[in-house]
Amino acid sequence: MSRIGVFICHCGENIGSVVDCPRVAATLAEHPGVAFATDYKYMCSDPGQNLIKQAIDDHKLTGVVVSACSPRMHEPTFRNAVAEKGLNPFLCEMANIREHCSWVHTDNEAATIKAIELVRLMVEKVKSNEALEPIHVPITKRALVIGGGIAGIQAALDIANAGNEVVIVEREPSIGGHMLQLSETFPTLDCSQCILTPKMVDIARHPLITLHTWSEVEKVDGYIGNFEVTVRKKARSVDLDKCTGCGACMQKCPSRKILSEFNAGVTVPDPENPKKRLGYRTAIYTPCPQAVPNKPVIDREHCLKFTKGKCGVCAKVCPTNAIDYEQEDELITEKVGAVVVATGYQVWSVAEAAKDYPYIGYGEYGYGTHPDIINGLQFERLLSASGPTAGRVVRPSDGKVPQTVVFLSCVGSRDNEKGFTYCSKICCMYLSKHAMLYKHKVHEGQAYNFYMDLRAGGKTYDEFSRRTIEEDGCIYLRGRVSRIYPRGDHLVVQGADTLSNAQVEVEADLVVLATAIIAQPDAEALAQKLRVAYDKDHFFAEAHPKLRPVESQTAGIFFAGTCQGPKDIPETVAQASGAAAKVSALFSADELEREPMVAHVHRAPPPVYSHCFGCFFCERVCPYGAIEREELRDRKGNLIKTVAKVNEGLCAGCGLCAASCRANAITLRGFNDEQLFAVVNAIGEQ
Amino acid sequence: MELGYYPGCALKAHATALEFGASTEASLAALGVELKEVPDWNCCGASAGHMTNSALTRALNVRNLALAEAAGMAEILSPCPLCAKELAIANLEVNEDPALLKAAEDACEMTYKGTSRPITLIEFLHNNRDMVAEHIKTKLPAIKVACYYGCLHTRPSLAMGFDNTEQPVTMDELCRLLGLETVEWSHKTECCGAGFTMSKPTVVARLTGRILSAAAAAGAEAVVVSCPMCHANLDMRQAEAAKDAAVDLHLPILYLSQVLGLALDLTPKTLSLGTHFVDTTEIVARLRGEPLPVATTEAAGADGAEQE
Amino acid sequence: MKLELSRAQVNSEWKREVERRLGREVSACYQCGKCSAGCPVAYEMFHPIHAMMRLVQLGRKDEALRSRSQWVCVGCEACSERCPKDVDPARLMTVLREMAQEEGCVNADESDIYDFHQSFLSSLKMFGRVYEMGLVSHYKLKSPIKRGPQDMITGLQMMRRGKPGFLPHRVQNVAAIRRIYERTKLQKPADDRDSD
Repeated sequence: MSRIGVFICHCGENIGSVVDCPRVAATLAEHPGVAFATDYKYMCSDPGQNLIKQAIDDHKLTGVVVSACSPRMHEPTFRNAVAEKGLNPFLCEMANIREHCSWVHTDNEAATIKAIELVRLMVEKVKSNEALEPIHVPITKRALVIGGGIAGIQAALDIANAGNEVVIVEREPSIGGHMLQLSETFPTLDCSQCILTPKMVDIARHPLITLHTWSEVEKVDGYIGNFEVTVRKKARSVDLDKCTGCGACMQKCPSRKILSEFNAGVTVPDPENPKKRLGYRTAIYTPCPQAVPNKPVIDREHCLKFTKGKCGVCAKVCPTNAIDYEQEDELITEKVGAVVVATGYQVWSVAEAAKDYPYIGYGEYGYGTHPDIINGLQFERLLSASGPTAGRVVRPSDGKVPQTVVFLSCVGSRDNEKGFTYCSKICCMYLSKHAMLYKHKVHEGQAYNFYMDLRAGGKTYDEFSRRTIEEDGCIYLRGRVSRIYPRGDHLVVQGADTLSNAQVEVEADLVVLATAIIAQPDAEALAQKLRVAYDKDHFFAEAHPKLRPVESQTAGIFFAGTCQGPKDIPETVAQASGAAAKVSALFSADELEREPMVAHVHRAPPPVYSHCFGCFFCERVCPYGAIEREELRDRKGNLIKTVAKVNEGLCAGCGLCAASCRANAITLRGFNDEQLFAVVNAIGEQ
Repeated sequence: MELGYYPGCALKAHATALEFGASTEASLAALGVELKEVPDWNCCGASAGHMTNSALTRALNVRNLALAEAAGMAEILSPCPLCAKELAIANLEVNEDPALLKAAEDACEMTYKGTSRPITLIEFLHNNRDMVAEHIKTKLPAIKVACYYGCLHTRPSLAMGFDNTEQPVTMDELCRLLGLETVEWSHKTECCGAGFTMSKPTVVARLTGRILSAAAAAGAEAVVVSCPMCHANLDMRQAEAAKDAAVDLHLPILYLSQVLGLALDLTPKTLSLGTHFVDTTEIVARLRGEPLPVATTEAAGADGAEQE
Repeated sequence: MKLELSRAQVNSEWKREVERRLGREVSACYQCGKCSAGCPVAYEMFHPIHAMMRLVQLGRKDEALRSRSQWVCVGCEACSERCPKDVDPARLMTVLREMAQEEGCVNADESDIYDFHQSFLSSLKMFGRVYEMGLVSHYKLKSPIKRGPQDMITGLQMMRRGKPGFLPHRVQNVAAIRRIYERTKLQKPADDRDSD
């Protein structure tokens, strides 16, 4: 016999100003099966919760319906409250009379009647609710960090320092990411490599961290606490155990004209020999001298041994015989309990053939074909002491020091027509930095910056940008640039200064474009492997933009850094530590409690064994890959039939399988047929 | 093959661009294309129309499109890109908005179902470049030319989008197909000043000065165009352009249809190569592989037209 | 310069009408200036294109309609092609030209340009196709002292080359053309300067 308690919340004025709550309570008090009904101003408050608890005791309630806001707000609150009194929390449900009623209607009378109806339906459902127990899932206390840039490095260090094992998978031969390519960072002008490399070394030395470089995530199976990740360790062609990092192979490698990814593809004439250029790399290479691990890989696409069967010099000069041309990719499996995605960004190219995105490039800037029109990352490499010029700013075309440099903001960003709609956030700051550093290196040079807005919102950021203007003489022109074209040895930049109401033409020696920060080219593919959400620009989608920035919507997977959206280094590090904290919290228990509202395939007595007849339509429709196949065998081991089985850890309780099962063999716990039909049948009854 | 043909006033009526009309018709005939004029076509409105009264322009051009449609022409060759643009925009607008279609139909008393479309000379030749290649009789020598598209061949890209808007290549490809060497230069799609040639010639002088200096700086020995206004401004106004830009200019301005015709072995007279302002005798001789005429022709800018 | 803005001005009927004819809201323009940056005749304009859009955004009707900018615009559409917000500044120029005619405030400094357009259109109206000799005479007669001697030498040179044609070409159904004119005429104030 049901004894349901009904509690109508006013939610201050939110519900109370539209719905006549006392009347709803009074009406429900008369409903069969309701033992107690009342209304109160704020049910989620302590007194409100105490009201429920007291009623459970006084009226020996067998179920509770709280009519208030959306269950997404306070379902856990009320369930915890009833659990304290020994009532199974899944016998407590919420009827949403706020988002579904008072907030969307203006006719108070009709809204009140609707509220009564909504509560009544929920009472009928609760009469059929089952007491459910949470599912306990073991946790593997190891974390996987995908990406070894500053985000991945920080997250890994924080998780490891909290006492848990970490595996880092990094695609490049070395960790460090884009931060390793920078010269100095704003607003402190710290040398980027100097502040990053100690952390990189910490990673290498940390007893709890396993580092896989030149590796990629191939497949992700499993669920929170129990992921099984297949990692492809690409063939380096170098035996890591034997290699000492002496560098003899790189010195002797004859393929010396490969564009270096670490130098962002920029090369300059060799001042000693104008016929040659600097900035390339060899086929066997480490990206830079501070690489971790400081052991090379062979780029098989450019190595003579692999393309033509010739050479082999590196093997000959290697003192420890570490070269192994026969090495193959290796697939390994890592079992982890949580994943932190820290895969970073790429810098957009204005070239027409930017095929990864459906954007048409900037023909008005020459499609990136002119050597003296470079992007921000390439300029960083020129400024960097580890770059092709050891920090001298020169023109890639002829190696001369540019006397006039023009910087352009927002190339591809905030451009609905030819680029990306969003703001890339860091360009205003890094262009200020570039202009400042240029002036520090070329004292008689003149810098111009065509900008739209100056976004300098961080700590001491605004003061930093003002220094560029007030102390380093950079002229900031407020307007976009329409066209850049070569004239003789120079580049004509045709822009605007809306502050002067004028078209502005500047003859430049070098032009630096702050191109958009975009998602990695394979971000979509990775998101699909991980089954995480991503947005139209392929940045990964956080669970809530304000309050849950480092969690994904998929349990156990967290984000850190620019893979979630453009941001600067301080924000990246903060997010990385945040994600690490979430992971540590996850690992602080030995078992994970998960909600029991999962699907379940019925079994039956022999000879039926199961109403499931093995069509596996549920497997096809399940977005979480939670349907497994189970072989039913008799005592002798003969196969009877293969039926579907729900992996309760992966199941998110969406109910698609239950809806699509043709044999009606699947039930979603908490939403079984009896409950749902009770609600449906109650609609329209007085 | 048959092709609908909308010559426009510049090529046919008042014919300040008689060279363009004559050379286009002759070259296409040599390619085996029979041009059928849109019956009773009217002026497209040109700059005056589209700048001062968009409803008038739309109605004038829906009339042209309806006439072409009634004559069964799916494609209408419009060598002048301004005519092509006006027809194309009218087409786009009335196809998207039934209210605009109705207003235009009411104004011009015709019905239009939307089945015709204009095509520029460059687009037509490029689409049929295999046919062009087959018909070449004498490949032209590798003289350096700057292909000048003007502002109309690539803008607005919704209406005129068959080539890359900022860095078009189709006319360059055609010229190279004919044997010429094309230069990379910076002012391919910059406006020449268009209809201001009489009403504000200082603007034309400034704009063409920039264009021609850039062409000369890129090493071009001639400029190839496919627009009567561009031709008039670059050719007829070259002296003013040179003065405004303070450079020496001797750049013959040739129509694409003229260089095409030369490769098809048509005579300079058929192609009206004798009526340009900037003397073309020398360049034509070089293009035809003939010995250069003995020193009577003056430098460009003077009225050195030789009637052949 | 001082601007006193009011709700009425920045939400005026005129601004709404401009937006209706433009087919979009002018608030989409974030004044990046790329249009003015690429305009070949920006050097001639007191209010370059982005500034014209700004006048509309602030409801400054008189200055917008009386400006020279829309008449000096060559219609090359580089602005609209490169605009990152697709606000179609080239179309705004046409809207302003039409409105200036409708309100009788075509800028007198650019009367050459306006008169030439009008002469062109009268030639078109008369013959259905432009008769250049007629057009040029009509244009010069409006201001014979200034325009008479212009291009006399070039004109002779052209005639030596057999262009333009001496006689007009006519459309057979010229009456239809004239009716098109009547039906699409802009509503202009009575004391307009042009002859139709």
